[in-house]
Amino acid sequence: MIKRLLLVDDEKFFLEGLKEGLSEYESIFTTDICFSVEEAIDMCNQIHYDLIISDIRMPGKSGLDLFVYLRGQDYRGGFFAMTAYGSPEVLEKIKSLGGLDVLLKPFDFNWFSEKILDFFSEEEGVSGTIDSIALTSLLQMINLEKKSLVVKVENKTSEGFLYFEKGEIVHAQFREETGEEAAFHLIKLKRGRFSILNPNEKKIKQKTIDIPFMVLMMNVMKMEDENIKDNILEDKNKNNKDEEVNMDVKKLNEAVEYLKDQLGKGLLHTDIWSTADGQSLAGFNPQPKAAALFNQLTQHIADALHQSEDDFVELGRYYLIDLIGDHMIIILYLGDYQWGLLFNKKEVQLGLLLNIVIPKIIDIFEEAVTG
Amino acid sequence: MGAVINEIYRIVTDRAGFKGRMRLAVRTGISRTRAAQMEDTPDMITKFKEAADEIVGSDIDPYFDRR
Repeated sequence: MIKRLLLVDDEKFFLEGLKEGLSEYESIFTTDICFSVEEAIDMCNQIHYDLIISDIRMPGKSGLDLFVYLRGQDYRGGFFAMTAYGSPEVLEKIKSLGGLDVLLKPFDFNWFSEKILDFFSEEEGVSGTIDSIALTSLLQMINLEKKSLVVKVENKTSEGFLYFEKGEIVHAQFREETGEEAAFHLIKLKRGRFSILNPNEKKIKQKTIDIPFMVLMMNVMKMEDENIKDNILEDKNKNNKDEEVNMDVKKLNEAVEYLKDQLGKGLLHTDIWSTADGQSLAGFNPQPKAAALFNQLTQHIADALHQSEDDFVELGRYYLIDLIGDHMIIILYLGDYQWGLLFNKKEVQLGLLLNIVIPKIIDIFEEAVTG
Repeated sequence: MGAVINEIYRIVTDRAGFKGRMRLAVRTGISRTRAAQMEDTPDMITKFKEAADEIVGSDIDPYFDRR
């Protein structure tokens, strides 16, 4: 349904220019203009506008008077105030009215039109057809923007929901499944549609996911790769019950303490995490996002080497990356676990680290996995 | 003490990295440090060698340091 926009400003030429510019969006919304609050009130009594954008300072009644009037009339559309007088006092007054967005003049037309389109998109909900890239891009955008909303994903036979809170997926539901399993299946759907719902429209009943968004997405990506899936199955077949690990976290902390003692202020961060889900087990100044990133990177390196044409190399004990700013990172590849160390290369002797410290912490780690 | 087991640990780490070494430790339930304090009994060597062969994906005999 085509939306309706009303622009209110006493600057006639300015408004006519905006109206002309916005005419290219007629398939999404139509634009009416008026030059006083009185005129705007008359028009609002006849037509429902989905969005009203009004200048604040005008001869006679102000844009704020219009806002107060509309609120008294139980107006349910959007309202943006425009002003060139963005003094703290004016902004404070606007803020005190609540529920009012302010556009400071002068503004760029493209920015202005984007603002309107964003408003209508949010109100109407974004929707689209699933292809894996479009859906994951949308989810990443929601994460970056730290949005709280619900993404509905549906195909011919079923539907599911991904619940976002401040950019993190906190719950997923698909058929009878909930939690991470449901999220995996929804994000991996190849055919269907997605749409965004207001969180008030689809209220969350319980939170079933507590891993960071990046880790969840990374796990989904891993599952998407058929080769990796085969490897996982192969590994599962290889592993028997006596390979189940009861990790001794106290020992891990002991290893971390030893590392801190040996590297002193040269050690910037360290984190031991599970390869399967990126969850940290122990660390010092841990960085969950970095752990997720390097977990993914390790997987790429391991896969690339494993799938190399000559098939003559596999990832060995560790890989080391020289970073700018005197930093260096070393990732110890322990199979089901990984251990990342970020250190200052000017403060740490690499030979000592590789030949003395790492063998020692590996010994302690090994004791942690064997109990 | 535990020289053979220690050598098996070395071979597995060389051929299969820390990943392999961890699998060996978990499969046998004995860490390298603990193995170094134990006697190299025939049973123990057999257990370690079988696990090591499987982890490396081939017979590890050729990799033993015979010195």
